[in-house]
Amino acid sequence: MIDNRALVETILRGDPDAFRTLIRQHQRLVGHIVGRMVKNREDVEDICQEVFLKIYRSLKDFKFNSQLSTWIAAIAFNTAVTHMQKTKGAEAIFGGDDEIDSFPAAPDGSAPDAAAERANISFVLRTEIDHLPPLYGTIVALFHLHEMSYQEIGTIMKLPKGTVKSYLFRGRRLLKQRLTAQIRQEDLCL
Amino acid sequence: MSINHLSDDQIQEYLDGLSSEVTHIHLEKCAACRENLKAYQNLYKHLQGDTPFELPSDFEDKVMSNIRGQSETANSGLLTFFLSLLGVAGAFFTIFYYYGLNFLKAAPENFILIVDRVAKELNGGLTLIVAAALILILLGIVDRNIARVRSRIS
Ligand SMILES: [Zn+2]
Repeated sequence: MIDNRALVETILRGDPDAFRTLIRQHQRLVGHIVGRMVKNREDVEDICQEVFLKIYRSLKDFKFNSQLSTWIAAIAFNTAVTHMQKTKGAEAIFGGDDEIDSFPAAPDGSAPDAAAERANISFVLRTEIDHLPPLYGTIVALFHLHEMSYQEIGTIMKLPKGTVKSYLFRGRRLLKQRLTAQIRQEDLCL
Repeated sequence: MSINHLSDDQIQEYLDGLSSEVTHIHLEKCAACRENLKAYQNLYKHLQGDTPFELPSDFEDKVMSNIRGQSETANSGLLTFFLSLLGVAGAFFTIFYYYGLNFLKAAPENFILIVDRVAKELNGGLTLIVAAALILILLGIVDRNIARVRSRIS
């Protein structure tokens, strides 16, 4: 926290190397949020660029009321949501609330040359996450890859802590079911 | 023997560190719930090793050149604006220097006539100055509009 304060002050004094440090420290976080929200891979990098330009321009307004990473994550999330609203609409973000169980599973890669990839659990998992509503996949990434609490994720997404928890649990339950089903299928094939 | 098994939510709470003593006791006794717990543990392990999207290694350089490009556009816009001002001031100073107050008196009545007369007398030199000033003003306006459109896009 103290380190971040010094970093922000150095950036505001006009040191470009300090902003490079900020990018390096947060590009993984921003990439994960935007990458999970926006499915079109070609757009993801452009949106991440936009996120860091926004951060650069509005850093002077950051008053350390939250962690720097929470503030940056919120900018990334909002930028991704704005992009999605332009291209798709709110339904695409939340997956029509209570309909997650009916969300389509990833299509079965039944081609013989896909067999090696199917055996790779990580590949199966990523494909399944990509088929969840974007919000669920993003919450899973923030919780498991960035060790954020329900509360922090709620602050980023402007959602109550309980809602975050319920989305996370529903997402994981679905992933567990699909992963278990896929892996048992693998065992039968062998 | 217990009939009510742990729900998926209770198992996830256990793994997220929110569990109660009841969950813990049930897990010790029940193999079926331990099986479900194992499936979740496996999922958690893979979620922690997942790499959803990695930005290219030159991403940082791209952002920095983007920032530099934007501030250069803003600076060059400002420079053109000041050059335009300087051009206009120079033109007026020249006219005033040669024709003094007579020019100011006649100016509102017939500007084109004055410019024509001045141009003839200066052998075209003044027309050149006025034309240069006008071009600079135009450049300034165009440049500022381009910068505005660019910032709206980003
Ligand atoms: Zn049980």
